[in-house]
Amino acid sequence: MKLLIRFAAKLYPRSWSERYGAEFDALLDDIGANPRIALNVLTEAIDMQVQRSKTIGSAGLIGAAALCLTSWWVGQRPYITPGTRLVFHQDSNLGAMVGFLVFLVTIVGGLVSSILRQDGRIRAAKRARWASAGTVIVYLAAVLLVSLLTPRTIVSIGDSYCYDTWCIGVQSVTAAPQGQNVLYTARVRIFSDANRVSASRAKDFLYARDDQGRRFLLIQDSSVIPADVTINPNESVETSLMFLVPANGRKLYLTGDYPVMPWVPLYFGSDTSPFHRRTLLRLH
Amino acid sequence: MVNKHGYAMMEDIERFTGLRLGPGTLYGAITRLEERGWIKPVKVEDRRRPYTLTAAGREYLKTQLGVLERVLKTAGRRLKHA
Repeated sequence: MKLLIRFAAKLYPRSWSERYGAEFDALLDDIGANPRIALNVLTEAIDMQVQRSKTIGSAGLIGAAALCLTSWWVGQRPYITPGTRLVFHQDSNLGAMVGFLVFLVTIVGGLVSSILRQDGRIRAAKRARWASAGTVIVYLAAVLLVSLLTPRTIVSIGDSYCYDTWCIGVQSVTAAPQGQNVLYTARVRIFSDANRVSASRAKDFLYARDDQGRRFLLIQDSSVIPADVTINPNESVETSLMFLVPANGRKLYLTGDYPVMPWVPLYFGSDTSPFHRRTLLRLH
Repeated sequence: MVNKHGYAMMEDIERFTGLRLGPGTLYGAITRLEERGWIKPVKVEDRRRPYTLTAAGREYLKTQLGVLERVLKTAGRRLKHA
């Protein structure tokens, strides 16, 4: 128990320990050790850290805002692969890390709040609860704002887009009139961005859409490699996708409905964030 | 008024209130009182450092005791008629 109390006493802010550490240790020597004392020292150390970290907290908030903006910038800018064309990503690793950091802060804030409440420090517990709730609210508001303000990315022919580790790039497109319609045939390259695991997507995941928002389903063609082919790490497959589009269909794009984990839309730089205009691959 | 160190304060407070303060709570209070200039440490060689009231602390305490006295008198009067 004595060890636990000494450990808790080490959690006080450094400036406080320099000023009061010796006399506080003397007091701890005088009063002995029991779980109630350990809890009291621990909660007071946490409370003091919370109170003394206002300046650090402000600096942290500014740092977090800068990190969020950087992650958004990184997430929305094309990732340039040396020697090849541009590769756009559905989400950003940095955005995922920031999201995870916010999740951790919330959990720790909740735990600290519970510990403080157990010790009867209701005001300090409330402060910790508000701090963690505030972090989540500011983060979510920032994600939504960034989502709203980010213009839609249009991937040019020759460039690629990755849904998680499954990537696709349109290499060329031909259009053949067929009565009232036009048959678009897109030569695409499907490849994996993963280093270890293979990737595949459902057959009906991809579709074409025009500028009026009309959807055109993929024509299944048994003579070509299907779009749901499994791609091994660093493997690449070339195939064709065909869409029958009315002749008045202009500005045709390739896109897909890819189910993502519920937390992915909450990342900075995620293409699936609420209010964000999804990335489209040009087919014209 | 006798200057007291942490342990002596704990004992004293327990004697007149019946409450045993935790060491963290006590030193949290000492920190705040010193930051506000109401108490100051007395220089000693020992690790156990006593504290004494400052003039500002004495003045503030007087004011607060006056307020408390008025509250107690009013509460006592009202309790009689309750």
